[in-house]
Amino acid sequence: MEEYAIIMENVDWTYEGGTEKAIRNINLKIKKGEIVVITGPSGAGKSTLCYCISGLIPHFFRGELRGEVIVSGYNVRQTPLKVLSKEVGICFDNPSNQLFCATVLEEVAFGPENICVSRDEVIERVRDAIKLCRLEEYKDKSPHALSGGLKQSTAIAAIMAMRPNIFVLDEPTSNLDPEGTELIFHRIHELMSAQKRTTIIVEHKLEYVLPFADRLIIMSDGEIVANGSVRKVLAESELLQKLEISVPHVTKLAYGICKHLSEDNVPITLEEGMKLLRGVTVRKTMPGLKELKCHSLAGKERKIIIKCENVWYEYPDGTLALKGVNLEINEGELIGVIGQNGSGKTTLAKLLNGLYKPTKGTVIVDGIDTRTVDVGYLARVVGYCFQNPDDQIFAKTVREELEFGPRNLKLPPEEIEQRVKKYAKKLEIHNYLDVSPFTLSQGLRQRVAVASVLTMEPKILIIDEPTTGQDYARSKAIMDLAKELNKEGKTVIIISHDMNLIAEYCDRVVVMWNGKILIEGTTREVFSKPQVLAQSSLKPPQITQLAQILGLPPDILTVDEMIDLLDIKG
Amino acid sequence: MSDIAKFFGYTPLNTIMHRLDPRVKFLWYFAAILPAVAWSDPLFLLGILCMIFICGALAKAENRVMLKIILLPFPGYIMILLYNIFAFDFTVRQMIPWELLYLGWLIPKFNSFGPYGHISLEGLIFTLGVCLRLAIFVSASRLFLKFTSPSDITTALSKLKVPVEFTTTISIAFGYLPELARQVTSILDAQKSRGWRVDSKNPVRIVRAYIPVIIPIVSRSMTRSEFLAAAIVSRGFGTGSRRISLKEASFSLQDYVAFALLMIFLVTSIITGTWVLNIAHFRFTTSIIRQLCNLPAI
Repeated sequence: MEEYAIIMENVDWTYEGGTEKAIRNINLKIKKGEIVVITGPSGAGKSTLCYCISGLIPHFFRGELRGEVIVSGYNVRQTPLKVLSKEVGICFDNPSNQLFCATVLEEVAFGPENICVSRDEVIERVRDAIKLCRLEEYKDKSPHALSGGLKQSTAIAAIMAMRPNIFVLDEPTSNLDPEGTELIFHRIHELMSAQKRTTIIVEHKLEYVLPFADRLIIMSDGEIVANGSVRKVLAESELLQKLEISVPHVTKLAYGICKHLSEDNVPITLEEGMKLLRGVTVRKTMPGLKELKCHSLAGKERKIIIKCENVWYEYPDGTLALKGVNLEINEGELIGVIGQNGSGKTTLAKLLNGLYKPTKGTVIVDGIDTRTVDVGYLARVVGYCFQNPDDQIFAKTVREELEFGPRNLKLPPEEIEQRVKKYAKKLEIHNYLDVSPFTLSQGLRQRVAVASVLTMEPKILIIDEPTTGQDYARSKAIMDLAKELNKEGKTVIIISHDMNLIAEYCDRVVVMWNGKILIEGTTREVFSKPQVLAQSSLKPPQITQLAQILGLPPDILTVDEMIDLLDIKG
Repeated sequence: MSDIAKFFGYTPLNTIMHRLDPRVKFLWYFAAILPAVAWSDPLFLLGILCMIFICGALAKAENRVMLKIILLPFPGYIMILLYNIFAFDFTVRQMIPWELLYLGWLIPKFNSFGPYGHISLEGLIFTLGVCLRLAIFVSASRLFLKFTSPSDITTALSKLKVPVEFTTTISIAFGYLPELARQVTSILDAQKSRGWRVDSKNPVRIVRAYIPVIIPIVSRSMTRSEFLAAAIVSRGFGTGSRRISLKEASFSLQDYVAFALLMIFLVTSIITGTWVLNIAHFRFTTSIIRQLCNLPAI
């Protein structure tokens, strides 16, 4: 009993008002000091499991708990939160939702101030946590003014200061850019090496987290469907592929080329991928290399639909967000805009739909100078889907939500009705037209948000961060939709942090850095220049990196391309 | 990037104003606000406004933003001016023992219509004073929020034996302002991108037109508050045990000096301005102007 930090026996939980169990038949034992990664599709019950361990269930959330949860020897059901909060620290996905103090120092101090330790100890704990999370130079700054990565570091430091025996990190990087994600995993890794504590990490970005994990748990539909050492679980290729789990590219490659995968030969890291491929290529596949075709758009005559000429933009507070951007986008392109937070991606997008007017230079959209018209007028040309669907959903029914845009454009009612039907069907939400959008799942709400922009029938569609907080299957679904709309002739601009999806779907990529365009070109051209990308702390997809290290064509973008190239399919 | 956050948020800096004990900060605020309520003379009020700007410079507040804050209630100034032009004769005039210096009519006589809005020197000086009161109120409040962190407010209130649940709620509410401002900007942008605009002058229609903005603000705030509450309880809040504050509220020499100066100012300003010498009444500026223009003294 003593060796286990967490024991869950036959645990079921149903949220109040819910008809289905959010988690069921959970039997789980986690040893002290173990680092456990939990993954699975959205709605699988991962967060609920975290709440059970932290005691938020049943003490904060209401519902029905069955079975026993024992944490550090305490029965969670019978132990008040004030005791549990000293044993378990939980960090949520969105840092903005858990920070509420004016400075980093106060934020970190909040926990220890509450738990009745001496003032000297509060000071000592705060100092240690800030040092461990390397926040010394930010301690007097407002947490809200920091970058996403530093915000989440603050949230982690706030929990560190409580000195819990168990850490629970619920998708700590889902709202972060690649740089922030790297920073957080680096920090977690450092913390784990410094003081081995029991750690539960819920995460989709397995590539980053698996190299230092002891155990991997897969959840689906409220149940644990796989549980074991990282490599043992990864070897269950059929299950992972069925659930569309985003495994590291090298692991996916192994699924494609190895007939017998076992705990001993599943690769996770780039180095292991190199080992795997070295064996393969030396034997027989190198001669079978095929020339990859670049889908270059050069030479094709297309109308320029967006033209930015020496565009500068300064926010009212004096922040210079864009510094001389020149960009041409052709009609019918599917273009990806990548870069870290604060690099100017979203500012550029808001200049394209007229929300912002350039401080200097011109933005011409479909022949219209954006300075001469208001955003409402441009809405019929440029549709903008915001990152969070909840920023725009307000209506009583999905139908009203879809009607809102065309009504603002003063279209005749028959036309509006026809458009609502058309796009509801297209996005497969026609069965929910008379339902309140607030009752729908996150994935459906996102589709409602996209549909409500499409009903204005814009020629250009901008989708801002469609993959944030989404699992791989949902992200892919949105990208598939973007691709389909693009095939029908729409110009689609996607702003994203997900290099794998950008590489898989976009024709062309624009890399923003420090308010400027660092590089632009076809997706293959851009990702085959890792040194240039490194300047903005971006990396090509893992499979592209592997190809580049091994001296294979440097513009391989997907695992399937690599498998085709190796010519050993089957 | 939100202006609202910039206007009302706390800026963590290490200035002489920021370092003051929270209780002294509260006293500073009252010392700026209370005389403004008691006095009506534009010259004295201008003096207080200058003091606020000096304190603003000490707290490293940008003058440009401070000026913007003062201009924020511009429609209010116009309303005050119009009100006083039309109502001065029936209100303040009744308490003035001397003859007013009338400058003319806002709306001159036209046939049987008018004249309306009798403009007097005294009326204008009084209006200027009222406008300055408003300017002092907004600029002092803004500056107070700029150098007083929400936890300072909590610390000061705790010292006054206010229950910890209440002080923490206040602190979180203030801390939430900048984040709320960011959220509002984002929601406004999202709806504007769908062609939303308010082009009606009918107040009922305007309120209805804001529904697409208000509902997402409320729904997102509710979602956030649930996570926030979860984060707060998981960090041991509400355990019933005594809360230890990282910041120890203790007076330094600087605090004693500031406290003494502010108390002296507050007491003397109210006494001299209101009851004893009545120098803060707007007749002070009036008589100076009358003298400068060689008009009969009052």
